[in-house]
Amino acid sequence: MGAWFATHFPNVVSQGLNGEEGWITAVNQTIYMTFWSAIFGGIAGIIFGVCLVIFADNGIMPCHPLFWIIDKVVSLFRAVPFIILLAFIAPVTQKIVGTQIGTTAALVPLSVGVFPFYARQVQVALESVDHGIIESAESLGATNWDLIFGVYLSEARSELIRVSTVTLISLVGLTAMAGAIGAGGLGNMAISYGYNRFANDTTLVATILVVIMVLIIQVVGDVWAKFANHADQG
Amino acid sequence: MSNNIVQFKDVSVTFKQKKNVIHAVSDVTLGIPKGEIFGIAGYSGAGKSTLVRTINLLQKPTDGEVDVFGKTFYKKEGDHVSSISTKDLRDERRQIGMIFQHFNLLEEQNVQRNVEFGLKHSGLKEKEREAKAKKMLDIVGLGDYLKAYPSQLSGGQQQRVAIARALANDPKILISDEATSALDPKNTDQILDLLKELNEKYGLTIILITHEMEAIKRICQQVAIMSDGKVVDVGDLLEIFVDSKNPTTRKIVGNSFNALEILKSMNIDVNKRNLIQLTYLSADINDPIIVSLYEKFHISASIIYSNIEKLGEQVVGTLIVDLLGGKEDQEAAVKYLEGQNIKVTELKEAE
Repeated sequence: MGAWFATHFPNVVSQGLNGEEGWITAVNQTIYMTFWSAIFGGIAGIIFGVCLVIFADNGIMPCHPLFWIIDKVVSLFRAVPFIILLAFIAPVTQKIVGTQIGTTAALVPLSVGVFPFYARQVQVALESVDHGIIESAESLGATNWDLIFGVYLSEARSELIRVSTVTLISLVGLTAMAGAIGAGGLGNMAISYGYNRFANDTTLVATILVVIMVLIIQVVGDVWAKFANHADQG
Repeated sequence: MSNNIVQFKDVSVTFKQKKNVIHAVSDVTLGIPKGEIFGIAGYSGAGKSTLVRTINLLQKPTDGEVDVFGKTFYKKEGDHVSSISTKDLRDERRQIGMIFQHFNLLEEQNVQRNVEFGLKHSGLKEKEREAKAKKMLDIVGLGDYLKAYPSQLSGGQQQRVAIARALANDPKILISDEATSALDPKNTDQILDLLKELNEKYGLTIILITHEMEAIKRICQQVAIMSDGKVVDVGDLLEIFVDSKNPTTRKIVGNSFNALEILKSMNIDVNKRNLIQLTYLSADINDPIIVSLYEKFHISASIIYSNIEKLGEQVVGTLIVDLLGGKEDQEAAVKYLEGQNIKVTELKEAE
């Protein structure tokens, strides 16, 4: 098996496992970038998504100016293609991280790139909560805090898990582009060490690894969303 | 100070939709007495729900005053608005339970958690909240379903959970907004009977919004009839269902007490006959009246229509008879009937 692999995938083997250009390093970089930007972008996305729902005209704390600003910020950031955002945001990255290149530096554009997408998804998920449930909670004397945490986020949880899965998958996609600012990861492996060096075997294996990661996220997300959903039980 | 737990004074609610202005509620002045089951009936779109939503300010009135528990919740005088503070409103809302047509339970929480939701700010400790939730669910007969999720329950059971939740803070008022409209007849009756029991046991004031006259007849003591945003008629069950001359009321309560409608449907020309309608409470009738009419006045009464209906605790009979006999005898007969606590109405159609 080992010999067969070495013959057919020579470039894959020559990348090594743990070195700077190794496979484990690349996988770790992708996981690192996905995880941390999911945390930062996720928190920002949830906050913006919640604000879009509660400040809307039919929300629980209608506030047109705030809604307008947040809505436009989200739309604006969504409009910038990620590969351009990487470059565009570099000075900000420099201020926050102290460098413009590398895996950690990529967290800034990744978080900024994913949060508007996630905010919209969260908005849609929260808007799916029946207005009658909100109204009945209000009739029980619920505070805005109760409504956000006890009703919106809690009732939409299954939908939130579903949109988080979608977002996480698209985030894995974004990390592949982060190679452009020297962030490493599987995307960089596929392009820099595979495509650019005509090492198609490396590209293939990198692709397979990305697909496996995406599938794992999808399956875990689906199972979890189903488990968290009590609304559609027979 | 009146005995009204809720007092609407000239309440109006208008909605602006682009260029249209919709008058959902216009100039309603209405008092809801403490401890009663008060029905508000009318077709959908009459403004019933909008009106009661101004009680706990789920809907702010556009104009007028709403007093609850003797306190002014909302008042607009000219351009000056005085409203209860947000914090006080939340506290007061816990004293005003509300149940809805579609139950509106938290789908992702089990039954017990649903009831506990309303107790968050009750000052009770977690264990006490749990105990209170269990007690409330026992009261509505769902003590065995603490861990069930709403989607696993029938509509009637879900509404019971909603009632337990609405009553967890021991409110003084329960607003039922079409709460039985999505239920089948058997569940509807059970929920209505439960409401009645709660009213009798705990002195709970219940405001029952519905378009179902059967619900009103079953448990209400007083009724207001709404149409086009206005309250067009108010009275106790007998006044509304039997005596009311208001055409809107007549239309809404149905024609089971409306003789002219009945006769029309039977193709009987009322003006050619000597028809009278007798309306009576069955409990008042001891004599065999039809036989007495013949024995005492030689009047033979041919029965054209008869009906018996329950209004709350009372059983109301309606009898339409054609009187055959001498004119003087007829007058004496009517007098006799009226002496028997029977309401006699001559049936003649205005031409």
